[in-house]
Amino acid sequence: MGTAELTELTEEQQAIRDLGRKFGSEVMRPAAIALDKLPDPEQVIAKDSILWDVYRQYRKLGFHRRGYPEEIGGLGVSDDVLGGLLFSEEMGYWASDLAISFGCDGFPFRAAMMSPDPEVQNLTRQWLADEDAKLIGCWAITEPDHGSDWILFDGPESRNPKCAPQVRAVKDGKYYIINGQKAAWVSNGTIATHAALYLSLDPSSGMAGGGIAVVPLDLPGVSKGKPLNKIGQRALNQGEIFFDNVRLPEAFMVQANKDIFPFLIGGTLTAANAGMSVTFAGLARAAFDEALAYAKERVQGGKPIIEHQNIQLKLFKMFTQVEAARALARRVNLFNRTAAQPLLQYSIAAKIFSTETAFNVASEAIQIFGGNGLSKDYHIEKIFRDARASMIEDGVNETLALGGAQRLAQ
Amino acid sequence: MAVVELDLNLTDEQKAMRDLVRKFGAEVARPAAIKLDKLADPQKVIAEDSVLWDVFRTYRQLGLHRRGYPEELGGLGNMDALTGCLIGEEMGYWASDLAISLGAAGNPFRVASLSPHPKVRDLARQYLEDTEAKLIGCWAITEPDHGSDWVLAVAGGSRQPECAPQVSAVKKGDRYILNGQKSAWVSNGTIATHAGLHVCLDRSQGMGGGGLAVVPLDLPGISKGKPLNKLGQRALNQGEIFFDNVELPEEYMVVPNPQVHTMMMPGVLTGANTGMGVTFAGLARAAFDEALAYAKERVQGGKPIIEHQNIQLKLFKMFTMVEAARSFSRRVSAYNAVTMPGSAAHAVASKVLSTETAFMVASEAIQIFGGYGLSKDYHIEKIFRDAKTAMIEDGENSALSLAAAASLV
Repeated sequence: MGTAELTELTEEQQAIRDLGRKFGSEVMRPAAIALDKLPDPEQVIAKDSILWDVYRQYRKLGFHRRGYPEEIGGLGVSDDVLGGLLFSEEMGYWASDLAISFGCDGFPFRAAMMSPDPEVQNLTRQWLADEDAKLIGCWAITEPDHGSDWILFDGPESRNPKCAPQVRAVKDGKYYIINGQKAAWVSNGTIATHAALYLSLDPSSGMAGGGIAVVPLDLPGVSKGKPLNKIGQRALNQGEIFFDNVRLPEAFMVQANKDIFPFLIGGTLTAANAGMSVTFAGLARAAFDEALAYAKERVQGGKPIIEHQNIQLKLFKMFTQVEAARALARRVNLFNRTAAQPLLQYSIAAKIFSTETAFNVASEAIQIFGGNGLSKDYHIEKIFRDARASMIEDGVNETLALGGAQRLAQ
Repeated sequence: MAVVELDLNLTDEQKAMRDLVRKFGAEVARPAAIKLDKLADPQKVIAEDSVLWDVFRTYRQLGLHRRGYPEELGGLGNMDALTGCLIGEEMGYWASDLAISLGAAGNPFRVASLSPHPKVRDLARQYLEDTEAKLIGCWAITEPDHGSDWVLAVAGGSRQPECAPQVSAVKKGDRYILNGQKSAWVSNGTIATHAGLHVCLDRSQGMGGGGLAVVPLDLPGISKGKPLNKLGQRALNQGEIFFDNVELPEEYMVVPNPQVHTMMMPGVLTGANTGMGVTFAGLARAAFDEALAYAKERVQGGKPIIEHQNIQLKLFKMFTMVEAARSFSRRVSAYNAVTMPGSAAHAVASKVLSTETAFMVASEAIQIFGGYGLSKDYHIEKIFRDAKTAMIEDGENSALSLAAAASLV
């Protein structure tokens, strides 16, 4: 018996978890394995890629509609945070790379709700109704010269002009003119139709002089880089977005108040890191399950290796870490999604804990698998590579910790 | 200022040898390893037009394979341990995967050099003279059902009949009949012309009933599996070897006595692990150098990241671990070079320390690189994958530790 569900779940919660488990095991994982094996990341997003089928099936499930008002086509803003977490944990378990792709998809459409303009708001409606996955979003934030700078958005260097975002928007009548480039780490960058674009409005204020735009990526002047070739999470396409004198109607600058910008980055990071913590607690659980199953089957030294003491000690330590990660992720999400004042340092702590647990557990699992653990015929080496990427994704863990520490000092 | 050479009195010959291998590593081995690692299909690594063959030929032309063989056979004689470390560390630094391939290639020829039969011993001479890399060896030991069993056997474990090696050699007149299969982890298995083959001679003794043969792999009944597709060390080809009623002339069973085989295995483990300790101290150093160079260049938070305290603390911890692994590997090499059979506990300790250090330093280096550390445009993620592989290669680290712990008693 592996990990257990320690919370008593309602029937609806069991149903949503089982839905996630079915979708994850039948659709997401086989697709992720196939996409991971493609040597050229261009093939992951090619016209005949299975990625599109997976997206369409995800949209048909309607999970992306949770948390949006019913009147615009959402499933309503639910009290049941746990149900959503159960589904997310399953997605991380079966295919964390695709889980992140789905997670980033909604960014510009959630940001669009901040605008009073009907045309902008309509984007959200269109996305919520879009079962063909014709609209796909991305979060365009980091840049080649500004990675960790974004995480320390309200740290001691935040007002340093050298730390201002490189993507700039300059007001010109009823438009903003946007110039600059986002980094190759933009998740969904290569396939997105819309971006939640975090940019600089006033470079002299450094990171504190920014704004948020919802950008249709078919505007003239927008171009994209080629997909990033990476160690892990290869089913998650990532790539640069270039802006060359892009004229954006002012209504699409959904947040132009520089004073609010740092708070918004903080809010986005609080939500994003909280989401990461659940996804990667799921991945950690997957790594543990692989090791447990193998240890029961593999015979060496004359008996199943789970009967050897050292393997037992390793497995139990892994079990403890996985369960701690799941518990922290849930507790932090339940608080931060309902509290009047969410706390960023808790999201950060949970993100770090889950991603490091996923990595350590996967790494130990490989040792338990021995030679088979290195072989691409087995799943565990993919989990390991995906976990490795998560320690940098959504903020490199050390910089996040520094950001979290600042809040402890307050 | 990166890592310093603390061995002060290197002779001119030692410096020349180190610089020769450094040049080979930087100019030949590393570019080749990077290219081979990127090939999606491991079959391409060993294809006729692969860059692998150039690497092998250049290595042989430099005579680097002739270390440690008697001069009368065409070897360079016994090299002092420190020179061996300088060479091994550079090879691990530039391309640990190819280092293992080039090193493992000598296995059966070293075994052959111990044979009393001139025909068998002559194989060693042919190998030493072979600058075209026509003769390539492999170490055929683990099997699908017996991996760590081989390691635990060294400490006296796995003596039950069910733990006996699966590849059997049955004496029939003046030949042995070989049957069975070696696992997909045989380094160089897919390209080798000869194997140092560990077999079961007496099943009733479990792992204690073994023997060691030199096997020409063109004998009828021998076939090979397809190359293994792996997480790391992808430039090192690995694959199964199958034996189906292979008739091996008896003089090729270089160790026909299970008691002798059992007695020599600790020495085999000691030698192999001592070498791994050196090679992966080199890889650890490479990971550190990558991180140090990047930290000096990358600007974030308004200044080069090496000016940030946390990065400084990380780098210094990595530096300390690398230097400890290097120092330990040299000390163990020096001792095991002149002691018979050498200390298995120290060899294992060095292998475990070096491979775990390479892995931890490479993993920390990736954190220092941030996003770029995950990108295949940068070298560090290959070092990381190669290091993880080393924690299982040549004995999974926990199994090795258990076997070595027995000798502490």
